[in-house]
Amino acid sequence: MDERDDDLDRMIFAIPMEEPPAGLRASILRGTIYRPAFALKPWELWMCGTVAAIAVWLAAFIVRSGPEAFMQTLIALGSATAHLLLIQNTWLWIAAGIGTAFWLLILNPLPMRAPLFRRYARD
Amino acid sequence: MAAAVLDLPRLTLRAAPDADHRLVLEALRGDSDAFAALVQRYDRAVYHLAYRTMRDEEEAKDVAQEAFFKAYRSLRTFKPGAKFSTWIFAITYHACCDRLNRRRRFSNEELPERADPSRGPADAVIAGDEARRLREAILKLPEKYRTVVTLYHLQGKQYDEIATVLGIPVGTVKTHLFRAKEQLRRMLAADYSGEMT
Repeated sequence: MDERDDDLDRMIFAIPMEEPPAGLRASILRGTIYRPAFALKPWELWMCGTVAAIAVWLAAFIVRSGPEAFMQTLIALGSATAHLLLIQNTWLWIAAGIGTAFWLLILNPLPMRAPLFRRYARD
Repeated sequence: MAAAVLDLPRLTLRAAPDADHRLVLEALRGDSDAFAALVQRYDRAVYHLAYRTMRDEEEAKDVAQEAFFKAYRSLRTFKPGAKFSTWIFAITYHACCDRLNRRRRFSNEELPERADPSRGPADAVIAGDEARRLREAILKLPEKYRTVVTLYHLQGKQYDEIATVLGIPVGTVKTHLFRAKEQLRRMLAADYSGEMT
C-alpha cells in the first residue's frame, strides 16, 4: 500500500455518511414492528377463499340452470357420495390418509418454524 | 502513514457483529425492540448505500424502507454465521439493482451521469472542502465503482464481505476498488489543477 493510497483511504473513511431524511426510521418501524397484525392466518384465508368460490359457483349454477336442475345435481352428487362411502376401499384410503398424517406429525420431518413476530401496536 | 490508516474513524456498525447476532436472535424470539435496535443501528448506513447507488434522495428513502421490510419478513432465513451488516447491505444493493434496471427499462432517455451533488442531504454536515470534493468525485464514478467505494467506506477492508454483498469474486472487488481509486485520484487532481489555473 503506498502513501497515496493511505491518503485516499483516510479521505474516504473521513466522509460522513449521508443524513437520512427525517421520518425514515419511523416509517420503517411503522411498516415492520408496529404494523398491526393481520387477523387471519394463511390457512384461514385459504379456507374463506374456497368457501367463497364454492358459494359463487353454486349461486351462478342456480341462476343459470334453475332450481330444479340444481336440486337434481345436488341429489346426484349426494347419492354418488353415499355410494362411495359404502365401498370398503374408500374407508381404507381415508384411514391410510389419517394414519400418514398422524405419523408425519409424530415424526416431524420438517423443522418447527419459529413463532411469528409478535406484532403489536404501541403508543 | 500506515498507522494513520489503522486509526481511521471506524463506523460503529463495524464493531459489533456479536451484538447484531444477539439482536437478530431476540428479534426472532418475538422481541420487537431488538428489531428496532437493528433499524436504529443500520438505517443510516443502508440509506447511505442506497443514496450513493441511486443518486436520488426519494428513491434512496424508498430503497431503505424496502430493504428493512424485506429483512423483517425474511429474518428467519438469516444464517447465524453471517454478518447482519453484509446481509442487510446485500438486500439493499439488490433492491437498488432492481430499481435501476426498471429505470433503464422504462426510460427512453439517457440516464443522467450523476445527480447534482450540491443538493445532496449531507451537504449541511460536510464542513471540509476535501470531503466535499471527494464526495462529488465518488458520485461521478460509474455505478459499479461507486458501489464498491461506498461499501469499502461502510465495511472497511473486508473485501470478502463486499464481494458477498455484490455477488462478485473478491478479486473483482479489489480490481474495481483499484480502478475506482485511480479515477478518484485523477478527478481530484484535475479538480485541484483547475482551481489553480
